[in-house]
Amino acid sequence: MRMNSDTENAPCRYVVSVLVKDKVGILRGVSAALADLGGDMDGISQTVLDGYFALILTVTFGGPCSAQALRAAVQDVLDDDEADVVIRPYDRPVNLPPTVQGARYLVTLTGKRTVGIMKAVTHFLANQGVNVEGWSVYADGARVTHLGEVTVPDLLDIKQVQDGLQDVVAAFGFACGIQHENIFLVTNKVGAVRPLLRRAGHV
Amino acid sequence: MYKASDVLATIRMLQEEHLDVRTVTMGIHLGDCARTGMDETAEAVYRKITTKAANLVRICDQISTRYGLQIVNKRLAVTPASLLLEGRNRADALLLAQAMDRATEAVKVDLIGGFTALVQKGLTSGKQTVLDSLPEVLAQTSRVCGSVNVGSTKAGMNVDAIRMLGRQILRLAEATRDQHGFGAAKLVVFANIPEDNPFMAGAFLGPGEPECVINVGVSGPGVVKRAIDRALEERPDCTLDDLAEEVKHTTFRVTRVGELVGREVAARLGIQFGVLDLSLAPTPRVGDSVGEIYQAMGIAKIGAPGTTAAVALLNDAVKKGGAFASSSVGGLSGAFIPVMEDHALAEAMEAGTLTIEKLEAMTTVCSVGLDMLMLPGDTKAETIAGLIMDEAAIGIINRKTTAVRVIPVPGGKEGDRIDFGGLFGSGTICNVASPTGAEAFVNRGGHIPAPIQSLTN
Repeated sequence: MRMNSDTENAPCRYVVSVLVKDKVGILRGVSAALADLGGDMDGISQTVLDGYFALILTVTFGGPCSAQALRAAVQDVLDDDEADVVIRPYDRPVNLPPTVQGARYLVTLTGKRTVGIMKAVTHFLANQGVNVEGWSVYADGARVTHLGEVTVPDLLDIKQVQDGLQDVVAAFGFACGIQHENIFLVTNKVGAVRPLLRRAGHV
Repeated sequence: MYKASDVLATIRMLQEEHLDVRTVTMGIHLGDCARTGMDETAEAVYRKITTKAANLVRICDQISTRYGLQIVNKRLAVTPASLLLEGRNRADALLLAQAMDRATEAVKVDLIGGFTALVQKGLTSGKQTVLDSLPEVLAQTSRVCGSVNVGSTKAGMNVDAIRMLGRQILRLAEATRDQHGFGAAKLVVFANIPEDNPFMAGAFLGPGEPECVINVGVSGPGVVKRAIDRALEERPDCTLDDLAEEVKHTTFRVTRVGELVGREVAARLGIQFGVLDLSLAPTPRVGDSVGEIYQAMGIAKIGAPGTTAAVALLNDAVKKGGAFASSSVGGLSGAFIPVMEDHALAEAMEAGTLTIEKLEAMTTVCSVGLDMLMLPGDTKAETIAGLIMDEAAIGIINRKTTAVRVIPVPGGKEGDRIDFGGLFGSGTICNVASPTGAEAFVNRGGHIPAPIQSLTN
């Protein structure tokens, strides 16, 4: 079947993820490969954890570009047989609404390193309809600190969420907090307070 | 994306260093409560306070939960009672104060300020009634606080009113003898009183203020003390300008917490946000002390030469940090030195390194004055008046607020230890170096003219 010319020349967008042992120049290589194919990277999140480099990005091409060609170009610049590269056509709707409509809170957990704390906490949060959008764990000897960025649905009573989380982590000997992000923004960023309150719908 | 170190620093301030919002104070205008009879006026006052403040505590509690931040006190400040007492007598004053007291209890608030008169230039019948009724009003109510402004840079000093207050403070202490004269802790005598101070006992709603307003008092001496400790751990040889910089940055963060809470409370209540008063207000808890800050800076014995300079450094850095953080900074904004409420200051008084005379020197550069200081029960009215005059003179000449809140303890002797409990703390009765000798000067009375500094136009 012959495709019409509009379809052939339509822009295409992919989501790309890369997991590879860290070394200098990975992002340079990936961005060069995409640019050489005519791709515009319009979203990037990248981190390094314990020597492993992880990257997720979205890239838009002005014309056709096959997933196979894209994968080959990225694999080629990584030059590492153990590198994991995933390419997916981007198929989420434009102006995607947030997964959960609510307010941004930060979860903090501190205590002695133990198995199962993440399972218990995320189980509790998911049951409450709280969406986890970022989670980091920092170890300092036997002690660990978890820092989670979550969205709490507007309809939830935050006091009940706080009390419920407290009960969950107490079983592991952990201390916890779940506080609106504005308290961290006002204590750590320079800028007017009123826009923060407006953005949160608090004024 | 949040930096873990930033998040953990905030949590440390909240959980370990006692950063809190010390008070959310709602100002309520009562001028429209005046009626023909005092019973009706008192009823109107009760209704207005209970209506305006009905949701204050509930909303503060909700916001406190959201941010994981303690809002220690929710309080009320109202129009000076003298305005509602023109042409009234002492019995009327008590009726009014009791209505304020009941209304405050009804909305679950612990203190209300505004049994107030501004007498710097003279008296009216209402102001006279306030001054006359202070002992019974403050002794027979539990939540009402009083304040009197006796001087200002523009008006000079009303010495006649100060002489009267010297006597009334003794009567008030005597009327609360069974509580070691605690009634006197609910009365502050000011010079250059701020109209928007949210802190008790001196809070009231000034004539220039709106119908209803939220003013917030933020504290955090523990946060400042730990910041200095950390700076010294990292650089043991750091200089005083380094410490001033550290205090400034820390108070910037503290101030913004207060603005966040104040603006949100005001918005939720549908009223105006007024000011943020960043005052390092101690509590008797260890780790929540202004005196500990001076000790951290290197003043091993509070009261030793250098202490006044340490107060000046702290007070100035606090103001600078606050001013950069918010354009709504007002009230007193500085460092308090309330002796009984600060365990380190109370211990220095007990040890004798800190004297009333040194405290007076410190008040030239702190944000208020002689605060929460116990005197012997046989202190003369002229001595108290003289202390007030000295403090007022410092405020008037230096264009700053000064205040006196002293408690002559009935039957108490120098060196006796008294405990008021809770936030009011404990301490030792102390005395001035020369309790007598200025009576002739004080008793001349009259008015000390406004200083040359007042001619600014």
